[in-house]
Amino acid sequence: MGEYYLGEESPGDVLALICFKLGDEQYALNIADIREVLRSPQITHVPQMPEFVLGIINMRGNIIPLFDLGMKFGFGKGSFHQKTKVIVVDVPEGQISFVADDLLDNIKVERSSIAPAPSTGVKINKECVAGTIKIEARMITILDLNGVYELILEDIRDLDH
Amino acid sequence: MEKQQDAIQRFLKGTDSPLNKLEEKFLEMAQDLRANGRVPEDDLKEICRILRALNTAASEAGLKKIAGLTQHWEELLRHAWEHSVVFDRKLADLFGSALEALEHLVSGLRLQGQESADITILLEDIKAFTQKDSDKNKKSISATGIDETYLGVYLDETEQNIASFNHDLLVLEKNPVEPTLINNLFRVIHTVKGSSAMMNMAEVQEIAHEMENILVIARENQRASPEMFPLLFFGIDVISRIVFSLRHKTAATTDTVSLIEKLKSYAKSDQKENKKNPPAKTATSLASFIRIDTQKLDTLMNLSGELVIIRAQYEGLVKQLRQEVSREKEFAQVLTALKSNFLALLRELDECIGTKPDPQTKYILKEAENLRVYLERLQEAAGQSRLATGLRRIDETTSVLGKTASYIQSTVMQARMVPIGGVFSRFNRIVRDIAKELGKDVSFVLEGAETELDRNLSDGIAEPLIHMVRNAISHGIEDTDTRAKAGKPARGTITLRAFHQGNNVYIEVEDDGRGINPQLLAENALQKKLVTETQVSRMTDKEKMDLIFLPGFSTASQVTGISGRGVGMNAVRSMLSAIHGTIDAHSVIGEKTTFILKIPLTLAIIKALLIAVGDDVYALPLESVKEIMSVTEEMIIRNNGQFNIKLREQLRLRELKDVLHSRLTSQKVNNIKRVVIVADSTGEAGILVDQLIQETEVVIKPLPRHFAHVKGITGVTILGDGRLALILDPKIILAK
Repeated sequence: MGEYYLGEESPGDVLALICFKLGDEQYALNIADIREVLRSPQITHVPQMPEFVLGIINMRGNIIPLFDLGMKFGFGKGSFHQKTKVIVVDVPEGQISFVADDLLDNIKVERSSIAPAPSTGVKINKECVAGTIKIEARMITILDLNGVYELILEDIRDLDH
Repeated sequence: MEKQQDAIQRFLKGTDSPLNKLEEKFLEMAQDLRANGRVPEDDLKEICRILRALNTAASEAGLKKIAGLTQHWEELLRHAWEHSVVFDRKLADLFGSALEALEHLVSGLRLQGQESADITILLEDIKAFTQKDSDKNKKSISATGIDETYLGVYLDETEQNIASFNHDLLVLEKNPVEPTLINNLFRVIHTVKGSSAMMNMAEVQEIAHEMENILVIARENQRASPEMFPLLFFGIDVISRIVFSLRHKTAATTDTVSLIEKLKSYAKSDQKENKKNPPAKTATSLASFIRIDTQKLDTLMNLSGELVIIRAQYEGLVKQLRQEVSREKEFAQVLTALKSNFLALLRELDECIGTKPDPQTKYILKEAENLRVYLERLQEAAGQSRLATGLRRIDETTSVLGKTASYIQSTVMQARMVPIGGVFSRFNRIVRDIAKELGKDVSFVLEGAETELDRNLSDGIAEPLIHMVRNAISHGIEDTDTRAKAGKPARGTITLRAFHQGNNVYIEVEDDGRGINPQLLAENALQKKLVTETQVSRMTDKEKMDLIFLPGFSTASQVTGISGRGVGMNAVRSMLSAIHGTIDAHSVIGEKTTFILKIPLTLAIIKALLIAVGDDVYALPLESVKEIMSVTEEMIIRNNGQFNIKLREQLRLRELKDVLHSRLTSQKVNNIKRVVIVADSTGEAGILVDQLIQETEVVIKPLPRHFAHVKGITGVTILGDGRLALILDPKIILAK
C-alpha cells in the first residue's frame, strides 16, 4: 500500500500499473482505471453481437458488458481456465470488463522509463498502446484505455447500420 | 425552533394524501350534486374527518393559518349538513376556494417554509356563510344552544380527555421539559376545543383555545414555565366544572370571562417577548429534507439485491457444511464401533495369554493399551465437535439476513415506485379549473391510476400532461351547442388512462371532441412554411398528424393566454424525449383525439415467466403469455425451417435462437418440449423452450448502452442466485 502513496506524493513521475496476460503477452493498465478484478463471474450471452462481445456480467447489481480483448486484438478466441480473471475498468459511460488470461503483479514505474509504442514488434493496434516498458526479461505493453474503448465501440457502432 | 421545523416537516409529509383525497372528494361531490342534486352525508363526514386530521396536525406544527382555515372549513361543512343547507354552487365555490387556499398555504410552506398566502378574506366569506345560515336555522337548535343527540358522546369523551390532561399536566409539572408530554397535552386540549366547537359550547371552546395557545408557547420554548401550571390547572378545572354541570343538568356558576382574560394576557405577554427575537428563516433546511437523489436509491437498490444473493450463497455454504457434519457423525460412529471391537479383541488376547506373558507379549499388550488410550481420545474429540450447533446458528442467522435483505429491497423499491394516481389526481382540479375558465362542461375520467412508475418519471410527465389536457379542453371539446348538433352528449369527456405494456408505461390523453383533421394540419403547416407542397403531397395521414409536433407549428397561446392546439406539442415531445419517451397522436374526425405517451421504465417491476433455452434463462413478460402447452417431438411438423404443431396448424412455432439470431443458444434434445404461446392484438405465436422455471416478479434493468441495437431484448434482470436473465420482447416472437 505504501508504494501507492509514494506515487501520490510525486504524481508526475511514478505510475502504478496492474499487469496481466492476454494470451502469452504481458499487458498493463494504470491502476487508477481499474475498478475491480473478478474471479469467475457468470456470463450471460447477448445475441446479435460480434463474437468478441462475450455478454454481460453482474457486479453487485451493476450490469457490465464483458469483452474478449485478446480476440479483439486478433489473438483468437480465448478460453476460460483456472487463472482467468475478469478486469472491470472505468470508462466515461460507466464500466466495461474484459477477460485476462492471468493476473500478474502490481508494479510501480518511473514515467521516464516508459518507451513510446514502437512501430514494430507490438502485436496490437497502435491506438491502444500507451507505451512499453521492459523490466528485466519482461516486456510489458501498457494499454491506453481510451484507445481500447474506442476500438471496441467502433465495432459496436457499425452494428447500427 | 428545531422542534417547530420538525413539526412542519412532519406536517408536510402527511399532507399529500389528505390533500389529494380532499380534491377527489370534492370532485365526487360536484358530480353527485349535478347528478342527484345532493351530496351523500357519508361524503361530508369523510371530508370533515380529513379536515379535522389536517387541523390537528397543523395546530401541532403551530401552523396557525392552516389550522384556522381547516377549522372554519369544517364548520362550514358541518353547518351545511346539520342545517340541511342545499349544497349549491355558492357553497361549492367556497369549498373550491378553500381547497385552493389550502394548496397555496401548503406549497408556500414547502417552498418558503412559511404560510405565505393571505386567507383573511376567504375566512370572512366562510364566516359570513355560516353566520347567515345559523341565523336562519336558529329554531332547530335547542334552547341551551347544545345539540342534545350527541351530548352524551361529547360528555364521555371530554371527561376522559380532562382526566388524561390532568394526569399529564401533573407529570409535566415535575419534568417541565418533556416534549412528548407537552405535545400530548396540546393534542388533548385541541380535541376538547374541536368537539366543543361542534357542540356549540362557545365558553369551553374559548378556554380550550387559550390553553392551547399557552401550550404552543411551552412547545416553542421547549419547556413549560412555572407560571403556566396554575393557569392550565385552573383552565381544566373550569372546563371540568362546566362539563359536570352539563352532565348533571345543574347551572354552571363559574366566571369564565375572567379566566379567559387571564389566559389571554399570559399568551400576549409572552408573544411580546418573542417578537424581540424573531425566528430565523428556515426555508433552506426545509427544502433539502425530503428529496433523495435517485442515483443513491439506484445504488441502494443494487446493493440490497446483492444482499439477497449473498444470502443465497450462504445457504449453499451451510448446505455443504451440513454434509460435512453428517460425515463427521459417521466418523464418530465408526470410531465407536472400532473401539468396541478393539476392546473385545484385547479381552480375547488377555484370555489367550493367561497369567504369565513372555516379554514379547508384554510389549504387545503395552502397545495395545496405548492404542486404546489414543482411540479413546480420538472418540472424545470427535464427540465434542461444536460444528453442528454452530451450523444451526449460522443457518438461523442466514435466514434472518435473508428476510432483512428482502425487506430492504422491497422498501427501496417502494421508495422509487409511485402509482401514477399521485400525478393524475391533480388533474381533477386542473380539468375543473380550465373547464370553468373556458365555460365548458367537461367530465374527467381516470383509468389505471394504480399503474406504477418510477418517481422521477412521474415528476417528468406532469407538465406535458397538463399541456395536453389544456389543449384537449380548449380545442378538442366543442361547446355544448355544437355537441348537441353533432348528436353527442352535452358534456364532454377527458380521459387520462395509464397502463403497462411490455416494458413501457403508456399514458393516453383522450377527448371526445371534434378530432383533428390531418388535412387541416397540413394546410396550416404549409401556411407557416414548415413544409413544402411536394412534401405534403407525399404524406400519409399519419405523417400529417405528426406535423402537430413540429416546432413553431402554432403560436396561438401568445395571443389568448390559453394554449392553442399544437402549442407546446413540440415542447411536450421534447419533454418526453428527455425521459426517453415518445408521443403519438391519433384522431377520428368528429369523434375523438387520443395522444399516446409511451415511457420506458428505467426501473420497474413486471411479472415474468422465466424460461430456459439451452444454458440461458430468459424472462418473458407474463402479460403477453397466453398459454403453455407440452408437445412431443412427433407432434412437431418441420417444413423448410418452419415449425407447426399438429392439430394447431395455424399456430406459428419458432425457436428462440432463430428469433434472436443467437449464435450460442442450442436447444437440448428432449422428446417433450414446452411451448409458450405469446399473443397480442396482432396475433399469436409459439416458442419452443426447454424448461419452464417459474413465474416471478422481476426488476427491469436496462442493458448497457453498448447493446442498444439488439432487437428483441428490452432489458435484463438479476435472478435470485445472482445470474442474469435477458428480458424478451414478445413483439419479436410475434413478428412475421
